[in-house]
Order: sequence, then C-alpha cells, then structure tokens
Amino acid sequence: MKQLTGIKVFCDDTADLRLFHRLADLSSLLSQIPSENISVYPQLRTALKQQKYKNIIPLFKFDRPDYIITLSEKPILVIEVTEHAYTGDNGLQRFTRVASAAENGVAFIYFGPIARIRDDELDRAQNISSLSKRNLTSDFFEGMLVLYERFNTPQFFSEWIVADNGKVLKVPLDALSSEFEKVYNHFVSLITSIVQQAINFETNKANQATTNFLDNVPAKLIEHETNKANYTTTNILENEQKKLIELAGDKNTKFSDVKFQFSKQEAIQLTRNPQGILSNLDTYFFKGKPDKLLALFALQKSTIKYLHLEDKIISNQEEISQLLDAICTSNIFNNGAIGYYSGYKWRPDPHCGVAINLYYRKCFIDNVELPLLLFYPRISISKTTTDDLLKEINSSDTLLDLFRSRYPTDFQIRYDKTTSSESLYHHWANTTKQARIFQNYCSLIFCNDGIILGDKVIKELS
Amino acid sequence: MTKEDIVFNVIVDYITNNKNFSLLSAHPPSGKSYFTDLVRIPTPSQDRTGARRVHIDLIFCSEKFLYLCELKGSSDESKEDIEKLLSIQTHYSLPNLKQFILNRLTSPSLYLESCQDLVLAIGCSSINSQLANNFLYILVTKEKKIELMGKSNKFILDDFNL
Repeated sequence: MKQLTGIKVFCDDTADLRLFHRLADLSSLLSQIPSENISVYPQLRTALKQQKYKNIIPLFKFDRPDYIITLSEKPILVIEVTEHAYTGDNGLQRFTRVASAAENGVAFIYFGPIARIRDDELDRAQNISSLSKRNLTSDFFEGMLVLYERFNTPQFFSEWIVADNGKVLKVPLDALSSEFEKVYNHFVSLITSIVQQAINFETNKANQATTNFLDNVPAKLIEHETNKANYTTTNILENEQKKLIELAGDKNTKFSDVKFQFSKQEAIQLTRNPQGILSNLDTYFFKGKPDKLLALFALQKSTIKYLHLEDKIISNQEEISQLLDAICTSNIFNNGAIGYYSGYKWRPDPHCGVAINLYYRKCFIDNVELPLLLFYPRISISKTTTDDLLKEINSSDTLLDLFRSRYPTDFQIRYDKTTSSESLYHHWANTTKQARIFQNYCSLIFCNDGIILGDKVIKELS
Repeated sequence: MTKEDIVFNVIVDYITNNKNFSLLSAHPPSGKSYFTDLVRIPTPSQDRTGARRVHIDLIFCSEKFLYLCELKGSSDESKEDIEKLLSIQTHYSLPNLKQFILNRLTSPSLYLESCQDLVLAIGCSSINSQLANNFLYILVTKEKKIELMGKSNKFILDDFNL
C-alpha cells in the first residue's frame, strides 16, 4: 500500500491516539498514514523548545485540541472530539480551540452530540424513555459560522449519535469495523475529504489560481450556489458547510443574564465605577447556585486600587486617574462595548470559551470592533486583597447576611457548605491559561481591586 | 505516563481480552473514555442541585460478580477511594446499582443481569499499606502481569483465570 508520508497527526492524549488508529482503518486514505506519523504532541513548554512543533504551536498555545493534522508540516485540520453536550454556556468551553484554528487559517471539525439527557435528570428518572434531550447552545454553531465567514476557513460539525438514554454511543476498541462505521462514518468521511482536498491542492499546486486549498471552498456559500467546484471532495465540504449554516440559524438560546451591550456613555461610566455593573445584574444573584453570593460580596467590596499593565502594577492614584482618563477619552468606546460578567472562581473553563464566543459573535459590527469588558469580581490583582476578603468573611457577618436574605430558613447550612469549598477568591496570575486568553480577547478586565488592561487597550494607548 | 496510567492500561487490556469479563465503564486518568460508557454515580450526600456525582475508574462484571474498581499508583494513596466505594456499597443495594448502571449503558452487557455479588477492588502497581478489609487488590507487576491480593475466592480467581 502507498504511504502518505507527508501527513502527520498530532494527538492530545494516548486515548486520542488509540481512537485515531481505529478510525483510520475505516478510510482507505487515512489508513495510508504511517503509524510513526501519528503521535501525542507535548505540553506547550516542551513544544516551544522543539523546532518540529513550530507550525502547530499557534493552534494549542491557549488550549489543546484533540487532533492537529498537518500536510508537509503545514496544519490543514484541527479536530475536537467530545462526548459532552453541556447545557447553557458550559457548552462553549471548547470554543477557544475553534477560534485558534480559524485565526490561523486551519479547517476545524467539531465531533460531538448535538443534544443529550442531563445526568441529574437521568439520576431521578423512573422511566428514562420519558426524558427529553437538552440541546448544545446554538451560540456555539453561530460562533463557528462567524469564524468561517471572518477567516474564510471551513468549520464543520459531525454529530456523535446518542442512544435511547441520551448518552453518546460508544464502540469497544475490539469491535468490528462495521460497528465503528455506524458511529464514526460521517466523521471519518469529513476528515478524509479535507485531507484529500489538501493533497489534491498540493499535487496540483502549479495549476491552482489560489494559494490555499481552502480557497476552493467559497466563504459565501449562499452567493455561490451555482458555482460548483470541480472536486467531489469540495462538494462534500460545501454541503457540510451549508449544514453548519442551518445549525447556526436554528437558535435555541434565551436572553443571557451575564452578557450586555453598552453605549459609549455606559462603558465610560463602568470603567470609572465598575461596581455599577450591579445595576445590570438585578435579580441574578438571588437565583441559581449559592456561590453567586461570593461574587456579590466581592463586587460590593470592589474598588479601583490598582491598574495592571502587562507585568506592571500601578497603585499611585494620580497615575491611575490619568490612565483612566486616557482610556475614557480615547476612541476605544466610540461605538459602545460588549460586557460579560463571570462569577466563576479562578479557573479557565467554561468562561474563557464563553468570552471568545461572545467576542466573535457580538464585538464586530461591519468592520468595527467593539471592546469586550470582563467583570470578574472573585479575582483580585493583589494577593493582599484576596487575603483581606477571606479574613472579612471570618470576621464579619456581611456574607452570612447575604445568605440569610436569600435563604431565610437554611442559610447557615448553605453558607457553611459554600464557604468550605476551595479557592473562594484568588489573585490574578499572568502565567495561567485564563490570564493569557482574557488579556488577548478582553479590552478591560474588572477585578475586585482594580482593572487589568487587555493587550488591545495597551496597543491602543501606546 | 504516570503509574496510574500504566495500571489503567494494563487492567483495561486484561479485562477486554478476558472473555469472563464485560467492561462496562472506564474512566482513564485523562478523562477521555472513547471505547466504553462513562458511568457517574451520585454520592449519597448529594444535595438537591444534583451536582455531586462521582466516577469509578473501572466498572466491570463477570457472570457472578459486579466489580467496582478504583486505581492508584500505590495502595497507600487509596484511602479516599476505599471510603468512596464503601459509601456506594452502603447506599445502593446491588439490584439498584445494577439498574442504575444499566440505565447509563449504550450497548448491552453480557453479564450485568446475572451477576449477584459486589466486589470492591483497588488496582495499583505497589502494595505499601495494610490491605483494607473485604477489598480485592489487583496488582499490576513490573512485567505488566496481574496478581490478586486481599479478598478473593475460587470464583474470583476463576474470573481472572488465575
């Protein structure tokens, strides 16, 4: 058999590697990839020291996708495989990987269930056949569509089918290929089509009018319906891209309590007084999970004691005032702003993916970019502020009073349980994944004790 | 690969290649379970939000036994796992546990309906602590072979072909 020595498959984990080997057997093309070309890629710190990973690093510098496929060392496809179809914004947590692929001009496939039954509903059900499935948020598909149109890179969805109990169908490693085909046939066909398209392009490079094989898949499909491409694989990809457009148009999300559109005036007022976001959150803190009250407590105590600029922390109030004036009088807010409130503790998921999804869906009006403002009250710039918040919980009843007003009967139990969890409050750390992502996409990050300037604002002011 | 990764891979391969067993759920250290269902069990102390659910590293069964197995590099790291498994054993009757697992499978299991006893197990690559009462220890040797210690009987040995 001929070998596809130019194709390399980089897998996130040994489990991904095992799955790829099994799936490659289903495709006459993918089965030609030499086994030694399918490997697990290292962690970023290790990869940065090795030249051979140079071309794929931009695809996982923020978050690791399950697969990166290259042809002649050039990335051609990024793939995400997940059995989860989280409800609400949790479904957006993998969006960082989608965006990184598009920003670097690489095609992307998302393989996962489109709807599933929630575990807690399964736990309580007497009859599982009576349960209805919850859909993955259409914001995910809308975000993919925006990336496709903005970067002219194909975005595909392949459904991981579910059983009657709403769980994705799994195939044992030692099952027959026919069993794998039932679940993975469409997914493998998509991978094969993209790889074949890339090979075709490379083989006929001298005759191509374009410089990128993906240019054969028109970005504005609706306008190009009569302009059929020559390659069969292109037709498959065109049809699949159309399916994504349909999915993105099938909206299933409701109004969000934590995402906002601000006028110029509102954005300036919030920059000078971030605590003002409380008026937009109204009843938010008094429904849902009790740990929302931890964020409310921090927000009520919030001040602007520091400005964080790259690696520098400014605490001189006069200097802070001058910088805030510079931000508020610059062109940054000319067209308004988009806001996102996160009450999560210090961790990357799901809010990094949510922020990037919001950035691409809402921060571009025609060719004008609106700044994304992140409100993140459980995080402080200074560790001292975090320590002070924790001390205050122990020395005053302010937080307990919030629990008392929300849970009149069992406030003490809920308070004890909520405050016993780890990492109630935390301080910012530039080296973390969430810090790098937020600084890259958000213009301003409003923490408990000050404001972190995102890369975009720093660039604008310099 | 960590010791726990090695223990996971060796035991999963052993179970998959042994016709006496049916692997029902496997949760590898990476969390990616592409080849088996992933069963999460609500903890007995679960509150009304339903948010507290635990996974068990391996759930497998033979004609006679349902095995709940937690994996660690060495046995002295398994104190919390032992408590977790005992808590599940206390909270769920075997028929309830079997039904619970059955509701979460996407393909039929050969033996789940027939098995009639529960075996709590710890899989590890070294024994460096006292063995917990009534626990089966599945030891992965340096040669990547399986040895059994702790609670065992003829039928369990038969299951493992030992």
